Amino acid sequence: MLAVYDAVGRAVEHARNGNGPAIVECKTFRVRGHSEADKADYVPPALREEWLAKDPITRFETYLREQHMLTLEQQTELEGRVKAVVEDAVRFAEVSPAPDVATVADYVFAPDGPTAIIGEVGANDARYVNALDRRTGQPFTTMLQAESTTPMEVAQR
Amino acid sequence: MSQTKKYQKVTYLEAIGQAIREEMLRDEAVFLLGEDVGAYGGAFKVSAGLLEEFGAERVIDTPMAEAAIIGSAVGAALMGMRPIAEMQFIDFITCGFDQIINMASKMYWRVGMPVPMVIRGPSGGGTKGGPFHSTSPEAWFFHTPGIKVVVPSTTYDAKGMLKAAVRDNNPVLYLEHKLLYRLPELREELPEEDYIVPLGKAIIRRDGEDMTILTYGAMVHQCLKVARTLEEEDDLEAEVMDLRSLSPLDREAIQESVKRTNKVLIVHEDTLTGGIGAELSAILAEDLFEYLDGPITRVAAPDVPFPYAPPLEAAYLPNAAKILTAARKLAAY
Repeated sequence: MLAVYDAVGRAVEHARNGNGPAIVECKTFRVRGHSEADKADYVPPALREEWLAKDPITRFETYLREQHMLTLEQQTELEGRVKAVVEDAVRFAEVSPAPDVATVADYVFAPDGPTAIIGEVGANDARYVNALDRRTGQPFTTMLQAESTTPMEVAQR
Repeated sequence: MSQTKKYQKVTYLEAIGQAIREEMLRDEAVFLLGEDVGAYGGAFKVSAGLLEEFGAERVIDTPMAEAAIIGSAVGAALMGMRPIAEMQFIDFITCGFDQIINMASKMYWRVGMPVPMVIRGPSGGGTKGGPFHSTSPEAWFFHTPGIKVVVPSTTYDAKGMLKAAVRDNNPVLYLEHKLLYRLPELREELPEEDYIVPLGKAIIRRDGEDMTILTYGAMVHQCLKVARTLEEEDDLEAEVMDLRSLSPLDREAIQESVKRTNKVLIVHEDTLTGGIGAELSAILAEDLFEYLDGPITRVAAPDVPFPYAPPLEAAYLPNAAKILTAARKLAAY
């Protein structure tokens, strides 16, 4: 992760200094199959192990811990929060009613005028964008940082 | 000759795999390229075993880039090869649109060099695949001069039409319906000897005199179901014509049937507006106006992207119940 940050940074600097474009080749590996149906058994186990050992997420965790930038407690808390958001979304999806079949031909074109946000007509239609808002009242509250630069009225769309 | 031999029944999917393999054995110019067609054997396992048999130069795993897959196939075809380009899901064909429209389809007309290539892949819905894995793209290419469009509905046709497509000197879009891939009732014993199903010929799947149902692909089977119901419950004989080749279209067969039945129901899974049914309606109105005893009727999907939620998918897709309602309304004229 740090290597990518560094390399892309240098490439950007290179371009900004008027030295022309640069190509960054990121060597990576898909450790899982294309889909849940794909067991990826065409990948030699040793090759997968080799790349799993280089997993940038785990390596970055280790780095942050070693640099005393992340305590185990903080990490556990952060992971718990993310997990809760995901589980909450899954639960919400599972308990939500199936869409009304009468709406099958709806929502192809956006209507004229401002798009609906919480409290406006259309804001409660069963759609992806509204499902989040409707569930939380304040979308992404569990994730939203105080220093977020996204205005609430935009975040709520 | 009287000796009967027991052949193994194969699926629609296996028939496609057999056609590719046999064409590759028959002609060294034939090769397969696409995403995951080699080591993985294809997303649906259509090409399982082909890499092992023919090697990586004839079964080519490509990057995830449809424009490159189709563009390479165009180039290879111009150099005398007969590529079969697989779209992992036919929905992704849009990424290669320019290569098909501006290169493959116009090449012979522009420069007189044939482009013998097949683009094939799983189309159609009913598998809860959502908006990017369920498309019926035929109308876009049906509208395009210079590319043939075929849609087999049976195991026999799946093999015979793919072989004919490979041997054709033009680009052919061959649409497999993924819902039919492993359907047990479509299992068939296929002839041991080489055969083709000529492109451009429709086939009557069921004779009738009360109306002609024009359809293709997976909808053929829904229409046959409806025809049986009409016979049992309404004492009506509906003729079911499987167009199977949309371009070229078998106008003679359509005319011959409609002149006898005088009523036409058109059924397709693709969306209604500007679909195959629209052109069929125009042809019928122009050529057979005096033979029609009822309104040309269409059953198709609503003009909306393919929905993901299972109840919406069920509401979206044409099915036997919707076709039956339309057929009864038409019969009452």
